[in-house]
Amino acid sequence: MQGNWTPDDPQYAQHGNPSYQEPEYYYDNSQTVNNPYAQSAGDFSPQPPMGQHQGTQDPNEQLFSETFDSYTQDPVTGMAVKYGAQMMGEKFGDVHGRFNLYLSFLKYYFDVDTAYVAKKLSIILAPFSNKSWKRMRVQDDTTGELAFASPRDDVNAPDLYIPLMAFVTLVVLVGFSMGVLSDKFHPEVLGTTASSAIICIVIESVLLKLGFYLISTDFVPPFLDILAYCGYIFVSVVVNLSVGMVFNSLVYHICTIFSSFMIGIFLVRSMRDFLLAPGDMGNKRRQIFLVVIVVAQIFLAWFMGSLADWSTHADFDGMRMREAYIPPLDPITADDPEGILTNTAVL
Amino acid sequence: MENDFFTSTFDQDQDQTQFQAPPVQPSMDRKVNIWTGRFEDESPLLEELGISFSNITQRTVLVLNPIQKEATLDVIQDVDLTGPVIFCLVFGVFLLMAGKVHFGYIYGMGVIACCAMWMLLNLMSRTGIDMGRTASILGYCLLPIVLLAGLGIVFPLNNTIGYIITFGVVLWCSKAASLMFITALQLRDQTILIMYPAGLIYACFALLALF
Repeated sequence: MQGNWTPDDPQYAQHGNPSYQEPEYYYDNSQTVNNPYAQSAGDFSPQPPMGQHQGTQDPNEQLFSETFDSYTQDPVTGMAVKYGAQMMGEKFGDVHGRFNLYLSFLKYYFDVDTAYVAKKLSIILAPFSNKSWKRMRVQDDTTGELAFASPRDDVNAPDLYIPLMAFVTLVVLVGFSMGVLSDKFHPEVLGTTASSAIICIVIESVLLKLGFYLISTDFVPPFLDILAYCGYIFVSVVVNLSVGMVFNSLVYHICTIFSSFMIGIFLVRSMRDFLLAPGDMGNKRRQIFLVVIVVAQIFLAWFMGSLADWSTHADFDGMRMREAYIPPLDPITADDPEGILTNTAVL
Repeated sequence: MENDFFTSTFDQDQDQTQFQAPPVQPSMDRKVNIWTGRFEDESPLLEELGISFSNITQRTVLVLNPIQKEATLDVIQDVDLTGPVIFCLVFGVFLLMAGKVHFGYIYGMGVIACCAMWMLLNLMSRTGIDMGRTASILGYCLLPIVLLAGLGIVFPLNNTIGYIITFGVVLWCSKAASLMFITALQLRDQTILIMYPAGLIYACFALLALF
């Protein structure tokens, strides 16, 4: 089962291939008709076969499909939900089963090994080392249709392991830099940094997905793929921060510009296949879109680097109590030299 | 009886009918020890609660041995959460003695770390793992950080030597944790991929002890 939950490529599987057969355990008619999100996917959502639907309708699966609309339109994810619902519900029926039932679509993005991680990190930091950028397609054993290869086999496949690890590394590194450089570490810093970085990435992914729809390409990547590609910027921000902490701030700025350019190239090359291929009318729009992506990476890298405090190291006067933030007292006026009227509640 | 101070519901007519004495003799099925009030055939209290000090010490020794190569499966067999809770409390107390009140942050970070690690391990492995076992393993491997906090009371860690010591301690913790996780999940080629998230979790705790 490992590595078989892959998103489908509709260009190959449906439009060009006349012998494409719908698998018999597809999601059924009633689900597509009642599903209000069925129309929004455009050409990407495949039409189910007419007539009697096969297999049981698990009530949990209904809930699951309505909750995550944009990537249950993928045919293989729909198949995965149905397959997982039947098998895991029979086998486990406990927390494991329910975990596998609801979150098994994430397993594709975490199916990594050490070699993949090492290669991907080198590609992110130096994209010139990669020879071919096309995502591999493999024959799925169970269904017989072509789907994207899992990250173990294909270095161009997006994964969510690296962005997640790089995000947490960034949070830890920002906390460390706060303590080392400016002696203003407080555990709340970790929380605020994490929130800012996550929101940044999520907004960027949403805007990119919207951009893909507006440009009306044939293949719009699933939301998690876009999230993975946006999350790779954390790697370069971590590198920038570490370089900036070891050397001075001029080196940090040079490194930021350089590495964000690298990741812009990485993103453009990854997305160029389905973005620029058969487009004659919208070609200029798509080129502008790519340029906007590259420029946005620079701003994002700069913003995330600014989450760390670069002020100079304060004098360390020994161990002292770390208090919560106490707001400054109101100024003491001349009528009230002891400040009784304004500062009655002083901690 | 009535008086000015309170209204009494004591009614002499209903006294005999409603008041019933509790049964005097104990149930005849199980023998009761009249001195302790407990049943004779019950197991001792610690055993009932599932706390076995030999298991705790065995696991602690496993964590504290930095050159351990592999772990046996029976160490991780039963889920034990008393050791981790004790370690977290001692960690909080050591930080308190160093002048930092971070109990809430320890609890919050512990919960988030356990949930995140549980999700990651379930996504990356074939056989899943349950939350209790993850919490138990993560909590036991927190022990070197507790020792670091103890060291931080007497020796300020906010200098280069402190950073090096902290880095070594974090590596030690994450190595022990990844050892236990790999034994529990039977992963073979993903050692570094499990050690890195564990290292990040312990780095977060070490930041509390460091600054």
